[in-house]
Amino acid sequence: MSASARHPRLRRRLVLALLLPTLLLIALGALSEYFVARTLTDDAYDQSIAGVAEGLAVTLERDRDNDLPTHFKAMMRTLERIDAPDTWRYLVVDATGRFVDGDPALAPASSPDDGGSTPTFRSVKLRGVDERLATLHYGPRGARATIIVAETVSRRRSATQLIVGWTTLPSVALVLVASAVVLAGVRIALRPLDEVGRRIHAQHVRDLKPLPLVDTPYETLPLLQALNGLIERLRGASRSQQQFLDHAAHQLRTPLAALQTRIELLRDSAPEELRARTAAIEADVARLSHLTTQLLTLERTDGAAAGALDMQRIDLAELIASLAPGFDDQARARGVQLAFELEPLAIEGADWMLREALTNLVDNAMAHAPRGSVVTLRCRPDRAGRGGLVEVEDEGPGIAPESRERAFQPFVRLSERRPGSGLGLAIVRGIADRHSGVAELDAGRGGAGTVARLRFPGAP
Amino acid sequence: MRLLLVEDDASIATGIAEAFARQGDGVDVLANADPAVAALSMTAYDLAIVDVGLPGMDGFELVRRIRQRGLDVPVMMLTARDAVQDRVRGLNLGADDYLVKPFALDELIARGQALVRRSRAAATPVLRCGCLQLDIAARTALLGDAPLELTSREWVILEQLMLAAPNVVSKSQLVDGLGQWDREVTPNAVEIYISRVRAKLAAGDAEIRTMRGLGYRLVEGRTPPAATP
Repeated sequence: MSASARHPRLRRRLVLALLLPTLLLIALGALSEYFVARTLTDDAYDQSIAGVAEGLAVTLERDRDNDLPTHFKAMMRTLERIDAPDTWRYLVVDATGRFVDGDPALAPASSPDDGGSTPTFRSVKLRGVDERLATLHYGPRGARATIIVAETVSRRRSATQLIVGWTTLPSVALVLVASAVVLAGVRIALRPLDEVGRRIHAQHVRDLKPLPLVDTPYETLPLLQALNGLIERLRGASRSQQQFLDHAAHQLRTPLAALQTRIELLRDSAPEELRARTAAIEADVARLSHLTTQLLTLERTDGAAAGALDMQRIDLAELIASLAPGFDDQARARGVQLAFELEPLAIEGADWMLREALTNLVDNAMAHAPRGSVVTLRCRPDRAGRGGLVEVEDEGPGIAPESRERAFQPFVRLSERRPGSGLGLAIVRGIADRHSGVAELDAGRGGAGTVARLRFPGAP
Repeated sequence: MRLLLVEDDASIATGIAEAFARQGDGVDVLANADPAVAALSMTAYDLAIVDVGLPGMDGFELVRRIRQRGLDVPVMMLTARDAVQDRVRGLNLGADDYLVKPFALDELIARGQALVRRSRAAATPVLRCGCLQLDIAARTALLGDAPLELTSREWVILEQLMLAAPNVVSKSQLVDGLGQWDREVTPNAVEIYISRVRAKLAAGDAEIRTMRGLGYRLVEGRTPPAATP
């Protein structure tokens, strides 16, 4: 709930903005229909009780034999046969104020005589029942009889309900149809927005290409243009970082190269008693050089500086084979045997990064491989044919499962006794990331040693 | 040999010059690229070592001009930058090898000597690896001063390995090479020939390394005995 409060949903707003007024209008329409229906039925039913009153008046006028109650009752019976029974009552009082026939209880509810010759209507509650009364004062001035006809309102109410019911039905249908149309319309209208979102999402985090503006809705252009502006600024920052790194590399490496050169020359001409010290200094300089190179590599692969990469189709088997002579020279020096199990595996990648990753993995394996052991380099496609993996396996002491993930962190060295910058695996992971791949450590086949593995997704 | 070093950083330049001088090589040092082309045209240098980051005309431009003049002196480039495009660009312009600073002097000297050997080998059809020499034209082999007797199949194998060295020759390439004598050469047969050649080289300092799963490569120097499993 809090998430939607902080991120108002455009879809919900649109639906509410469209649907609420529509529903309000439909409700107003239904209300006015109800009033019209009620007015019309009231009029019709009033006319009918007025008619009965007029009829009773005519009977009263014609009466010459003083058997009015019989006539009235006969007439009412006739009427009730035609119309609904038990809903009508009447009261007739003659010009002298004498009760003639009917229900005396109606007397108090009659309308006063206004001198007119048409019935007047009133709504009253008698004995707990809502009734409608028509009062007709009939006869010449001064000698007027009063005729009251009453009817319970239940019939006219049910008539109203019938009318309202049938006229509301289409309104309800209208509400449903309107809601469906609005919901579907909003969804269809917002679909291009989702598409834009997908497009932004599909772009690789560090792939700083501007978003394409073709085929995007006009309304999203300002947003996309703003995003492209941001991307352009990021690219600028990335470019200047790259330039900085190039510059830093040059500035650091030139004196390092001079230092290394001097130390090597010193070693060759140093007197016997200084040999050990020069050798130690030479080792320090070599470590410093290695660390500098590794740091610059890590920055170049890991940082945003890697914004624009030259990705090309690369067969990892060929790449490993091309690096094999160099690896073998290392293996000779360490007294290690190399084995290759290479199947063609083409991926989309940056040549220098993949070389760097493999070199680092082989460096690690060599550092841990005992003399006379075998370091195996493998590459093979996935069984499913999408992507594949590269493995470098050594027969060293292995890495405890709980330490494997930590080994990828920069400057983490699991063994202080072995030389190294602590950046090799961090570089490897950075490179794997840049190729949408995974770098992991595992136990070797048979449980001994270590397998460093790179998994790559398929080339498109 | 005689080499020209074009490097503006004085301490690196003197270091490299001294290292080569100790090998008995003659080194001329220039701090910028402008006089380099003229120097290379007038003197028959065996090797040019060119720094990329030079004041004024840079190393790339120098290499371009050297090749434009038709000079075929081997060129080794030095750089403190590690953009791979630079390496590709240098090699495309006609440089023969490329080293990133900081480097070990030993490696610079070894690779420089390898370049010189290669360019000499291109001039004379004699391949060298350590004390092993193969005269392609005369089809004779020398191990040190002693002639090396090789059967024609062994010759084909060793020639392929020497031509490719220090790179790897795959078993199937060796099988193809032997195809002119044997219709059906099996990989096993290749292993037998290799072991025979190996035995004949045992006295020298060239070694055939088995690259399990890839093939074989010829390298200079002997692997210490402890290293062979």
